[in-house]
Amino acid sequence: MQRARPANPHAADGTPPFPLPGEHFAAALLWLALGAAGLVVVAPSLAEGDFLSPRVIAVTHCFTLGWITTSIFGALYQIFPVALGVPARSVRMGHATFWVLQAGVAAVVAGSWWRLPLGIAVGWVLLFLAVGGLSWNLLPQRRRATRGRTLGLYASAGHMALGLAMFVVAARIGAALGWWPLDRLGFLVAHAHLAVAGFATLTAVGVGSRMLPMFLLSHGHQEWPLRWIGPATGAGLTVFSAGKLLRLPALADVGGIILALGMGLYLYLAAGYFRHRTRRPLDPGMAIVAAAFGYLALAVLLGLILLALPGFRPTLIAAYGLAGILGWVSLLIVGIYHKIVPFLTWMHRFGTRIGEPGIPRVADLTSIPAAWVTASLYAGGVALLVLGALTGRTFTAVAGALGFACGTLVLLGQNLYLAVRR
Amino acid sequence: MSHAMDQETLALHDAVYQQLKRVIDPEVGQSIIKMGLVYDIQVNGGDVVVIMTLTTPGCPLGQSITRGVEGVVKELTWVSSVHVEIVWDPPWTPAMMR
Repeated sequence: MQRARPANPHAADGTPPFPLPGEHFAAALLWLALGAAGLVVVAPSLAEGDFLSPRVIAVTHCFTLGWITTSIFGALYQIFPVALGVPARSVRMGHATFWVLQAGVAAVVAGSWWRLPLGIAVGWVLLFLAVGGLSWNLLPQRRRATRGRTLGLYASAGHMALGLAMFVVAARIGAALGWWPLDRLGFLVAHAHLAVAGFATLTAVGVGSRMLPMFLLSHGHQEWPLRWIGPATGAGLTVFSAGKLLRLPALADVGGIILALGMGLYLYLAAGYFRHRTRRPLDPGMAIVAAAFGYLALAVLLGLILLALPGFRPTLIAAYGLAGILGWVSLLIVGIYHKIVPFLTWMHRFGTRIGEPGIPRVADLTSIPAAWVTASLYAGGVALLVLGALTGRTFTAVAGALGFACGTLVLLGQNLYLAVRR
Repeated sequence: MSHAMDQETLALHDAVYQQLKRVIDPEVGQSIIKMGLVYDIQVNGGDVVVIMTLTTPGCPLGQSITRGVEGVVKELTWVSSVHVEIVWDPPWTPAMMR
């Protein structure tokens, strides 16, 4: 037998104290709630394809920065040390980057909602600091890693994409000050793709390569797509963004197709996780994750249609953004929350008591029917939102936003119950 | 005499085995025995070595399960020391579930 290193190799895992990921997840849920409330307000604008309105941009950043980025940071602080076998450099720095991130998100969201350029500028500076702080704290530890190379590579690639997305924002600020010309729509498209397809999706690929097989008890799936998803997505994003920023449509088309290929490979990999799962009936959390992959497929399809169709199609762009940001990334994180938050809570309360009589299972900490209600409200809500944007029907979009908001209320209730339950 | 010794070791081995049935993977909801995570139990007087694996390297439950195994085995009055050894070869697969 191949023996592991002496005694217990997990003793030196260096997982941070519960409050570090815990504060990230709690704050992320509050941003999700704020975003869901804002979504109801801006749903009519989305149905009209007015995705450039300041309020839509504010709500979008509630989701992308407040909900998604805060969740990813919390998940990385928890998972990176376990998966790679090396701790974060400093827990204190982790708390500091958390608060700087929250201040930055608040400034960007408030600045966008009330059209305060200074607030937006201050917000982005704080966000630069927060991202730099997390990168310093975790990513260089990859060099000392004893395992988890794939996760480390994808997390680093995701943060490079995030850095580029923020660099593009800086370029936009320069354009606003009259230092150089920049096409606003091209900037926005490049920024959004670097953030969602680059940062969020590449990080999801890396983290998911450990978590999804673990939660599904999946064995025997093919691993080779993992070698190609990163290069294809990275190359596609670079060429696509360059094409958009330099106003070279043919270049953007080529980049878009390569990017779609990368996403297609990821969908193929994810289908393998689900096909080879040992746990046949899907629990609500993994059902939401499956729905998220369905929305990723829809987003890829809508993206290819946008590439193929000439002209500016605002409602189609709005539907594409909704499928990508809410359907894909947000639902993926909601699904993972259904798994990881009860698990961390269980570890915090019962982790030292395995083997004692009367210890509950992780699944006993949550209400399964409530989780199915959440899953239905979210999946249905996003479907109506996308449909509302595609058809230009305000009523459908508002109904979808209300469904999404109700799903968020149930999710908050579940997590509150988890926090206070003894 | 040798036969009696073997019988005694077997009984001690079985006692450890029964104790390990109490260690439940909280995520899957099944015991580590039923999941096929325990590869070998070695008993030498009061010293017990449990050779086992986890469902995946870097499993976040590793430390808790190891502690749980040590805890339940130490409840046996004749046990003086417990050592849990994690191995990755052969890797665990769902086919090992009993």
